[in-house]
Amino acid sequence: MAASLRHMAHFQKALLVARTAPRLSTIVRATSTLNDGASKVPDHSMHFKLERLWAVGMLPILPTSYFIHGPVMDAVLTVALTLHIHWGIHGVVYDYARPYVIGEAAAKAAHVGVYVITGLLLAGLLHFNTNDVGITKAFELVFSL
Amino acid sequence: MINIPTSILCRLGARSAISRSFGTSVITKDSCEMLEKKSLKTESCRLKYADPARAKDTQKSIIRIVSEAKTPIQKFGWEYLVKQRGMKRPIAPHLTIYQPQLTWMLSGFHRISGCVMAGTLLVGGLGFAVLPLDFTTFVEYIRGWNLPCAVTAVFKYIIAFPIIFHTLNGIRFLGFDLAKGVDNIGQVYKSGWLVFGVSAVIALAIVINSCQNKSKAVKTA
Amino acid sequence: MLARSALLVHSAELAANAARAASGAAAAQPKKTGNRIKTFEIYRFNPEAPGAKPTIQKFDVDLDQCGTMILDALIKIKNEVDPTLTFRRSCREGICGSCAMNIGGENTLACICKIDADTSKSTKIYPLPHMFVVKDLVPDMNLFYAQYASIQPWIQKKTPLTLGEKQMHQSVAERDRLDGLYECILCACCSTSCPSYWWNADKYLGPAVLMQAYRWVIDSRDDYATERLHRMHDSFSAFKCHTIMNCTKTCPKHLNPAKAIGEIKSLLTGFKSKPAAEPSAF
Repeated sequence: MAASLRHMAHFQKALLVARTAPRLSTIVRATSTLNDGASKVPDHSMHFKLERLWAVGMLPILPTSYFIHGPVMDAVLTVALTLHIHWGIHGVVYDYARPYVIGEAAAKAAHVGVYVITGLLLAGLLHFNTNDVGITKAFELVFSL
Repeated sequence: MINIPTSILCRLGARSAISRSFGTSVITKDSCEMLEKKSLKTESCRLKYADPARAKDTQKSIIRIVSEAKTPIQKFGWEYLVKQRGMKRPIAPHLTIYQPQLTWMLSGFHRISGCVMAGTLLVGGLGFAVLPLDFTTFVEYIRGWNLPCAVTAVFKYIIAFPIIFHTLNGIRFLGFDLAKGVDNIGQVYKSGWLVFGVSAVIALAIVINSCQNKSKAVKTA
Repeated sequence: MLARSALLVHSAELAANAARAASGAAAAQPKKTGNRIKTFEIYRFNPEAPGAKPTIQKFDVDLDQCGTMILDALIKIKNEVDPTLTFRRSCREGICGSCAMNIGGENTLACICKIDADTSKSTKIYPLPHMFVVKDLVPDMNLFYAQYASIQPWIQKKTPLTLGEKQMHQSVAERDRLDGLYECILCACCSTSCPSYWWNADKYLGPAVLMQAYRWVIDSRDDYATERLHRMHDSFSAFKCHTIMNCTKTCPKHLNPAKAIGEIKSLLTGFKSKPAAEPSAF
């Protein structure tokens, strides 16, 4: 009890001194937040912008492809779809094929697999357009059933 | 004399350790680089000793860390996951218990429709390239089954709906990426139902149109 | 004498019960005893039991003897049925964020979540989804807090200033831009409702932290917006938002993290830019 009273008196004295003392001009240093390792990671912003712009570009193609068919439309669709699917599958694989769940090696393999899938898709579609009926004709045939 | 409880001191110490690893109180470039090198080293040490199963590929994992280029908090995040797993803590249930809501149901369908369509193009494209079968023969074979329009309409709808939904929802999601149409959850739900409804209607229109064309073709033949 | 006093106490108790019943009847409908029993199915995990596995335990609560909020039921269960039921709680008024949990499939605060009075259905209570569970309904929050610290949630000025010299000017319009952002109580309901955060909590910052990052980016008094955005420009930190929208749906404070993330993406891609700070009149 006596100890706390002494503490109180000491504290009050300190407070009085602080209040009556001339105000300290505390200069706040300009903090630099640049050097925290973030600059080492690649900037994904432009890639993201490109992905979305590509998707926007595809928007008029899809309804047009319902009405206009032929080898040119097939080629346009192949290029547009392959790149869009590549980025889509990339997102999906990087979401689910996580090192925590499947281990570092399998995750790395999955990341490479994305490019394999895109390559195979492109090859398959190009072959279909040149050596078979083509995408638009294929839809025509299916919807004529 | 104010006694600061040790619990607060520990927490302060912990916070400064975190802030140090993120370089927030670092002023010079040199000291930061030194810290980074140090944190890389301690990270590889932790990998080596915390996870004995991966002691073999410590060398590989050092290289992998450098090439993966994580931010400091992402590095912390990985170490956190490894440590939590080491404590044998269960992960709280998620997909199985979370209430199905338009938000993640539509988003899930957007992703699933995209993957299924891509898969179809992949399998179809590769299949018709590799197999001794061409598309026309395949279609004519199915035409030989003489399925009524009601049956083929179902399959046509299953083909058309994902394409149209993915496209229209794609526009909706592009808006979300630009913070458009997200002013409140009501807007999100309205646009969600609109996209779903319009997709259903357009897909139906396409299927009905194809059935009408088919019957016209049959009549003129 | 003891017997008489016991009788007095007993009759006093009866009188008190009758008075409570009477006041209940006077306030609303006639009191129904025992026919408002609600079942709660609660996730249990005891780390101290050897070979422990999570289980679901059912508890019955008489809603007539309980407060209206889920937290009231949890406290009642802890007091009267099972004292080992473990959960976080503090303010009981929806401002501290401690009691965030998954109730009936949705992430919300137990203290402001009304008990669904439909006694034919049970209410399921789980911890925040895809978090590491310490015990019962208590998740480990350390990654969430570390991610919040990593966005450096404080004012940073490029020019040194002298504290107490003059105020940091901010116009009314500039201050309005912080509305809907600063009110976040860091309960983690939104981040733990996000499937993207479920799969990649180590690399994706999550809606709560991203909304706070945005709060500091667009604060007119902060000079380091470019650096703040720069810190999130990699493919995971902010861009792993797939616009699922679970966050805005579940926020118990009715805030909008999804919109904030959209703004971050717009700023990062250059579609939008932070307006220059309005000059002060003094």
